[in-house]
Amino acid sequence: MKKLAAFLGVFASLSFGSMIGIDALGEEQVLGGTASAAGRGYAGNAKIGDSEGLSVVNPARLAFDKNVVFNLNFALEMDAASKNGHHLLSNGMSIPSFNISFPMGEFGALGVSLWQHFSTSMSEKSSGDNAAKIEYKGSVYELVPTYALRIPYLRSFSLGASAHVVLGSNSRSLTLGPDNSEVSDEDHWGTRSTKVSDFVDGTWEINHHPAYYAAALQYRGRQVSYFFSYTTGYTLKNSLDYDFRFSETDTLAPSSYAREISVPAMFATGVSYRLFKRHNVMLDLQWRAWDEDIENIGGSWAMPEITETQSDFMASVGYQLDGVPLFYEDYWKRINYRAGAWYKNWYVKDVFEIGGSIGAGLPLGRKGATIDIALQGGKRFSDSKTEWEESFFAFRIGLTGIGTWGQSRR
Amino acid sequence: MKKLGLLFAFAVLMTSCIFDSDDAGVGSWLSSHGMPENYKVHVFNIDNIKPSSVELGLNTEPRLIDSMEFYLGQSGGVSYDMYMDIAFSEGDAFVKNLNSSDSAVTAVSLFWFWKLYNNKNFPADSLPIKESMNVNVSWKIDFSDKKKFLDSLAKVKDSVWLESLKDWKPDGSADTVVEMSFEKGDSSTVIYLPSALTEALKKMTYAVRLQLKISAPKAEHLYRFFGLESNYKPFFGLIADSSAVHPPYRAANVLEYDDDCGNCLHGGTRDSLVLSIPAEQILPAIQNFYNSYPLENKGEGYDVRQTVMLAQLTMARDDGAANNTSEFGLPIQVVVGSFVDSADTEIRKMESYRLNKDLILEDGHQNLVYHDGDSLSLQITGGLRELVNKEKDSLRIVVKLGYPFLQEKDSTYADYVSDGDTNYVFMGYFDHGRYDFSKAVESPMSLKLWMSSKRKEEN
Repeated sequence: MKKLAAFLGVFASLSFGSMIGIDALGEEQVLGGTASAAGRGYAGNAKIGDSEGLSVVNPARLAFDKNVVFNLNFALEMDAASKNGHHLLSNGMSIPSFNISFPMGEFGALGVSLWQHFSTSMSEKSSGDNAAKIEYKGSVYELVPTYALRIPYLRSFSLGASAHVVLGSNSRSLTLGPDNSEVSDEDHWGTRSTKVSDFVDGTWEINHHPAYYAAALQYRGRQVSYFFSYTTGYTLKNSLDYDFRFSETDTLAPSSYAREISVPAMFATGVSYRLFKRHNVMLDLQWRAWDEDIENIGGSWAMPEITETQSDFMASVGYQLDGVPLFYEDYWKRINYRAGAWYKNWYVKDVFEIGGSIGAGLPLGRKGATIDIALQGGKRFSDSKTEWEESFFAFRIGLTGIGTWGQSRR
Repeated sequence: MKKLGLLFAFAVLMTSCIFDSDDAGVGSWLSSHGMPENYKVHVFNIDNIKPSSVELGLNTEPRLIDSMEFYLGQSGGVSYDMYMDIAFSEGDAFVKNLNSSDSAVTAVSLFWFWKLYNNKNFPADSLPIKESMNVNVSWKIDFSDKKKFLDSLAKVKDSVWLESLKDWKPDGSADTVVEMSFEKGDSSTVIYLPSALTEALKKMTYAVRLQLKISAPKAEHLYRFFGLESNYKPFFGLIADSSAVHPPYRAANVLEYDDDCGNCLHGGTRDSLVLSIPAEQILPAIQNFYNSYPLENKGEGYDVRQTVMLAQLTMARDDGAANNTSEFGLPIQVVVGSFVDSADTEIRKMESYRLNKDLILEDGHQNLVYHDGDSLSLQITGGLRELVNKEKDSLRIVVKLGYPFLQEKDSTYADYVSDGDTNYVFMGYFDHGRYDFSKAVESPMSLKLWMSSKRKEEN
């Protein structure tokens, strides 16, 4: 577990750039942030292929995979936040998920995903002699073992279930210089150039439970496929140590506190329809009704104690033109072409997002290995007093390796 | 892949051109999230501070002399006794010469610690020193006829030997008068040892261990000699016979106090004054200033509302008190520490010192005694933080005398190199004078606090 924590620690520094909800959970990386799903606007959880790989929303889909799939995703995101004529540009890199799955024929399929579900990342410094510095870092990681099985005698249907084991860490550091405006000149020496940091760091886990769970039912038809999934609610526990630092070695005794975040159950469904040969359209929906606000990581100065929540809803539509699977065909015909768009209500009250994307799956060699790319852009609108509006641009790359380990030659 | 890289670079470039952070962007973002760009500083005084207790701590533990100065004499009511542990065997030239002469005289030679006496900051009018010093010499002798005796002595740990000095009972003792005469350029002095000691040594069979104590509690001065880890180590031998001399293989100083001043600190010792100031003299004043306590209970601990950035305790000072003595006539630094919790125990942590450069350049450092002015200001920031943030019952600080100060208006507070020359701010050798803090601890003190606040209403 320590090795895993160290591994996650390395990737925790690679996090997204959105500043919305940064005091609550941060930015949600929907659907594991896979480049293939991102290319079609986060739609297509119902789409069946030989090597679609693991979906953290629809664990049942895995039962129809025929190949071992290894999938690693990278994302680069640039966010331009603005409010009242002020702008803040940030960017970040992350590895939103790493998935591997093994079909086992009649015995179903197993898979596991390491998913950076929520992340926060920010490091900004104001201008001037006594520049303030604000830093956020954090990731709620989930380790998601999944099992799926086609139902005997109803082999067009499959059932899947997954457990989500939560781990990760987060921190916030606000470093400030002195404001001596109310101090006489002769006393300025007492704090001149003296910086203090209001520092908090913590770890994530599920409160009183090892994991939360998801279950799904998938149907695969000749033209249409669909799924329904239900993810249980859970309470996230963020154990925090607050510290007031005068220097790295001079601090006040830390004060411990744990905030609990009640994440509601999620319903998701989706349909994938094959229009013509290789042309697919997809629609996905997911919904989560937040009924409790989220206590913030901060709580000093005039910081709001909570982040108000709203029903978190996402609708996405997508299109994919499947590439020809024959390796001797023209390369351009072998590429998967994707496009999509989405609307998303954030869990943060009065924040919603509209985005679009285009993508492609570029085959590598003859054995099915692929590089998926997706270009995304959109805007996050905010009527919140706290949160800024953001325009974003993201570039995602997914590396997918296909194997036939354990599969009999046909 | 090259095309992908180019595409990404182009995208970054485009985004950077379209959007850019403005200078006030971060400040505006912080503001909209309820965070300031600076912490607000408040300064206020709490007067009429009076310690509830003042404890004088005297450290009389024997101290091993290696590269340190080896002291003999008295200063400020503290006498320094010399102890030397010497051993040699029959085959030594010393023993042959001792037994072949009826008029042999034994002595200890000591080398003046010229590093101090030649120091340009050592007061020139202090030399020459002449004194008929009453000295008591006492000794313990252990003889042995076993070859392994000397080896067995080497196995006696220094710490065991030092412990034995606390209950040291001599075999013999004699008083003598030593004519101390020292002027600039002298290198050494000789202390003649009593004939009874010389005679006793003649009884040796194979090997001898001689433990020697020399004390001069009524001496007019404290004399400094080189210790063992130098080229000028003291030695024991026969007068007019330089063929065999015996440096001690270890030596120690033991301090004896003959001073009834309850609030006096002695320089160069490990004396300390521990002041306890009840929390009720401080915390209510902070609470009144902010209309709330600086801590707010939260979870398993607390949230900090305000914290101490700097705390300075100012007390009265009387450099002309009758008990005060000074060897060098220089200002002496006063160092201060606070008792803080650490790993389920309480430790003494020395306080850092923040420089008020403008004031130092004008009036000198304010943490000195024996200099202009009538007050002493000590920074006790760590102690105040501990008091406030742990809601302790009292603030406990420890005050000690430090080094003599050469440049009280130099704001570096450390020796430094300038234009190739070392600029010494401290003298580097302790003044073994005495300073009476009675006026300081008996007069009302003033505590000045620089506080930072992280609350909305003070923001």
